[in-house]
Amino acid sequence: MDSKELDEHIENLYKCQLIPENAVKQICDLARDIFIEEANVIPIEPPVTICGDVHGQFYDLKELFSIGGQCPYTNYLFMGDFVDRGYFSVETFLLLLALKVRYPKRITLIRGNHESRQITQVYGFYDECLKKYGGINVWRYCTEVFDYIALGAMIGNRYFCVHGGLSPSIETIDEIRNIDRKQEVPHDGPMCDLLWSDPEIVDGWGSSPRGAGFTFGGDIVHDFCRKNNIDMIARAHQLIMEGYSYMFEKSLVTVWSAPNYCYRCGNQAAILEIDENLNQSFKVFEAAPFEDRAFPSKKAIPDYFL
Amino acid sequence: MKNEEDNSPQVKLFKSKETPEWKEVGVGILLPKYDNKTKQLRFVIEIEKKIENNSENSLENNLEKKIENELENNLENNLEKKIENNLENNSKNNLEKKIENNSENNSKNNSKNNLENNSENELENNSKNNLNNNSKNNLENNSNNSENKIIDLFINLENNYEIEQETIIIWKEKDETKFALSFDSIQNCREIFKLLYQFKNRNFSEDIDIDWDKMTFNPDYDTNLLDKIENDNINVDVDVDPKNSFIGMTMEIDDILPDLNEQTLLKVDSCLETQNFFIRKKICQEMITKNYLDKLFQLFENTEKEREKKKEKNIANRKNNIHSKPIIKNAHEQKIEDQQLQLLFRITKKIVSFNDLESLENIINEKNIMKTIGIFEYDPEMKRSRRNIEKWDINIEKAIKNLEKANINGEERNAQDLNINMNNRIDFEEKRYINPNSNPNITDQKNIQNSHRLFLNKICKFHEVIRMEEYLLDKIHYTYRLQYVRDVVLASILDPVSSQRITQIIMENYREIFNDLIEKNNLFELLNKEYNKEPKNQQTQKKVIQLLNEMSIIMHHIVYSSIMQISSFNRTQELLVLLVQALDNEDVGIQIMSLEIINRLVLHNTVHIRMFSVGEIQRNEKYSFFQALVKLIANQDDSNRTKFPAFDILMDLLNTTTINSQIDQENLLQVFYGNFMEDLVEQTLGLSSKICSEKKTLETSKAEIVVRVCEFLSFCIFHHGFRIKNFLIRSDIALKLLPFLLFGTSFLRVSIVKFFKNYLVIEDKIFIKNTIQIHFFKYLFEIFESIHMKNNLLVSSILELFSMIYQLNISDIVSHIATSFPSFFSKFSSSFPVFQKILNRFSENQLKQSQFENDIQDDNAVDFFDHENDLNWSKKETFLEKRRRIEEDERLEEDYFNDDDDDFENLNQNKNQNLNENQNLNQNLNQNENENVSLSRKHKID
Repeated sequence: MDSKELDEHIENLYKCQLIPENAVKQICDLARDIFIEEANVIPIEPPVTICGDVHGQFYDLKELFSIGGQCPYTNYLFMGDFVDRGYFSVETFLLLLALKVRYPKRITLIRGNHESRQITQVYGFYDECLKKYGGINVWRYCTEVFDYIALGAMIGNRYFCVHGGLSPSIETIDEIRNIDRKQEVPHDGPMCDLLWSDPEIVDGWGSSPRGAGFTFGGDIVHDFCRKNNIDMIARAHQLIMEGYSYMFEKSLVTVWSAPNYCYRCGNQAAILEIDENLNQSFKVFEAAPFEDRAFPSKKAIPDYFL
Repeated sequence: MKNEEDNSPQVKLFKSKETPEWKEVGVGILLPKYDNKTKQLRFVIEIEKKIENNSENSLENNLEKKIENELENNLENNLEKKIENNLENNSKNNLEKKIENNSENNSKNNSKNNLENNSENELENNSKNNLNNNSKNNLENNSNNSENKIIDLFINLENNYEIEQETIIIWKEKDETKFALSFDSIQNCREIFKLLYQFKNRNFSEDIDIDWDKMTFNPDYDTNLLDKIENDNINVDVDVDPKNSFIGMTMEIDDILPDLNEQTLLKVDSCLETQNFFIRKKICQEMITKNYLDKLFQLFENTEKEREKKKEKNIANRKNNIHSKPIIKNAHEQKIEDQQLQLLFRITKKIVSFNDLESLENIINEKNIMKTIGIFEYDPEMKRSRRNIEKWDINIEKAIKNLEKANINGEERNAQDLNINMNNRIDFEEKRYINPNSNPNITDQKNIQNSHRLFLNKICKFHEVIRMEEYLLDKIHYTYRLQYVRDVVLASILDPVSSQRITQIIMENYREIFNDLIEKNNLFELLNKEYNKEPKNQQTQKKVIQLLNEMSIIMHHIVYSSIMQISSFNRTQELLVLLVQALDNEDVGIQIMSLEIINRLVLHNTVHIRMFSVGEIQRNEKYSFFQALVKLIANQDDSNRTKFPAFDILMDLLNTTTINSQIDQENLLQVFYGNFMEDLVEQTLGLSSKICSEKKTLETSKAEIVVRVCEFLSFCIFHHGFRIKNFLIRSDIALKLLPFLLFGTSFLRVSIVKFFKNYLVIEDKIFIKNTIQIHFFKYLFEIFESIHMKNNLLVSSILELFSMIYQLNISDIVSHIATSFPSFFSKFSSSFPVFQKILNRFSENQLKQSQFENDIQDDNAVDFFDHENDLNWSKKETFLEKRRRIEEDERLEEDYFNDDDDDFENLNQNKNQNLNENQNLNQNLNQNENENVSLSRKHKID
């Protein structure tokens, strides 16, 4: 696939149009070859804009780009959970993937807990692929790519970014390097924790109400930051009504980028811009206006047998 | 006076008359005035900012004009939307901003639809005449009062005053004019509302206690509170007698739902605006008792018929003379029906949004569903979406072209003469009318987003693969429509409970359909006949498989429990016989669909499929299911579309953790390993290995299959005990994988490293010896040396492999690598801690070994010392002799028990041994992270 062809696909995806199945396969293969060369924790040089969960809300992703700047003119880091829940998981993920292939240094994707075969079968992505492509091959290609996506990122050696949070099995960021991430998200262990854990006001480690990962307190965060010589942990994974939220004396920030989550939560979304000097500034945005949206793509397949 | 004003609430006054649109009257300070003589309460509002008062006309006239001007365009600008927005933002500023934005949008819309507005002049005049005197009395302004205007609102005891969203007081006058006062703060709103309450009770002296939470809650957003109020009487303020409270007052709703006809639509619409849960509940009850929905649908049908008549007339006129006045008149007349239909839509939407299950079931029952779908075609907001407008424009252009073509006389028409605004009204249906021969194509499908019925009746196509009875067909169509209603028409309105209710109805319908089809109509038998009907037709065959595919999807996702209906072995057999044939079809599409069907079937009905597969081999069937799968996987074409799902099916079938019976497990593995395993691996991995070692490269599609084979073999290592051990060693699989490690692409290398991790994790002596013999670590270290700087996934995989070796302390490997590759360790042990740890482990192991050897020597030494003091020293055993003797005793003991066993017990013992082996493997598996173990815990997801 040459860059012209890729640009055409990107253009179509920007219009929320599906691209052919063989093109999906090609893009997934190219993306895999890029992801495989990335470290488990990808070093990123600022400036960069950090984004949280998107969850298949395509038109809100477009809104995000219009607020934060278009790719490749703005560097982006998406902290996982690109799919499920929203109506346009396929288009959303494929657009991000195509942008990654086209501008690998400009956009960084890290894995969220929804980038998993088991979760996507329950929360919408599987069904969406089935409905939109009439089969599950596209789902297979995408979930195969999920296994190659990195687990975290480090901005300017000061901000550690991960989807969920910390793990009791990991004391230093260097230890994350020893994880063979090419696998379905496990049900426990360090890789699972990085994608599933949540911060909690209570100090220490706690069992997570989600059933996977842990909760961790301010003391854990401060300790981790000190040991690894970093200033802050940026993560996503939790809905924040205002779009973002600091915790533990600004040593942890949660960024949420799916406005009006599930089309009914009424929350704002945010992106965190990190400039060259590692200064932080947030941009908060609302859901894309109704006029700019297409109708939910859940329209039934025109041919039916039962 | 100034101080009084400072403390007085600032309000925005809105008005709505006859239409659902809300019109902002102005912003000002509200002063309540009570006249003791007349016992009249007034709200005097000193208007600071009046909306669009450009002319010298009175405020009242301006308001009327504005209301009429925005009859068409202002639907988006209604208070309901503002309230919704307010809910989200909970900020008055935002509300104001949105109102301003909406005003801007409206003015844009106004300019876009000039002609539309012009054509509304007549309507406007009519509406003006209809203005009720009563509302005039209620809304008096004093224009003589310098620059500011004064509005007097007379409070009528008979009106129902309600609070909406904490900061808005809303009420309706007798003449159906609705007013809304939006306050600058909750406190001010409550103060004024208290005053109204006191006025209604004719008692200003006593302070009252109103439970505001109960007055302002919104059931859509706080269902917990809702339930609390409904069920928990403790929460009800004891000081408030329900009969005298505001809730009590507003519950008198017997008169709220008027008879439904063209004239009362507005009234009904405003009745349904309430957010009060109790009122909503009563309205729903009343709708049932009064057969309100039947009337509503009847009215819809009549109105739509009327509209169609006028539309046809309009188009006919346009054909004759596109610029004539009557067109405008017709358009205008048609617009009245449009407004009524839009009102009917609003009413239905509100009823649905009440999320009352009984009403919902009535709305979507078989009799009413198409009418509901029809009503929702008149959703003005959907038509206003930008995308649609663009599409409409395309339609307009097409329609104009069609119109021009239709001109038989060939008179040239200047396209510019066509007034585009006028033609904005041409919708898709009109286009079809103009060109009745045109069939909807794919582009049309996109253009008829709003024409739900057209989509369902013309675009959607039902394929009757086998002949079905009429009642079944009706049920199938109805069920399809239900899904469409749930997923498209009502998607944005339904709450999860209502949506779930529709899903339940769909599920029940499908259960009945499947039951009738499978049990009464022998579906699979008929499909088999249809598939093999001579002459064979691929299209027919495809449809047969498509039907089954749809069925399996529904069973998998919607009617999970319905799988029980095909769970009998005979039914499964019938189905599989057909699917195995389909796997051999030339059409890849049919193959893929068949695989997906089997894939879903395997998840729910593994036992019967295994029985079927084993039975086929035992019966020596020519073409078996396993054979079909292996053939698909071993196929040498470049497309892997069928290979991946085939692998998934194999792994599900061969997953021994889901087989309860040991005998079944043995039979299955015997069949598979005896007949297919070698072929499968040789045709894929074996061939690719040769190619890779010869060409020193491997194409991506083949590499992908090797990756899948490695995953499959890893899976087998954890599930198939001695059989896979035997197979791997006998087939020299480890050696065959080395070329991929040396010459493969990154993702293939990662996969090979992963395989060896699984190969070694079970700590089998033979596997360990084999890995060392083929010099795996030599190659691995060479690769690591070349890529360690990259810090990529392959580096991580290699590091994890060595972490595993360190953690399990696989001493043979630790010893091998530490002694054979000292230069590697000296180079990398400082930068990669895992290598240093391995070196430490090696030292520890050596220390232990030497201690162990010392112990032996000590043992011998003691014996020797004893010997010097014991005359019977020759009878003493050395350590080695002692060990030999114990081993010999054990063997004799085993032989003794074996001699007592009959053949059957021998078999069982072997099986138990295998089982133990499996259990050991599983134990190892549990100790290490293993992605193949199925999820045992239910995750709670964000």
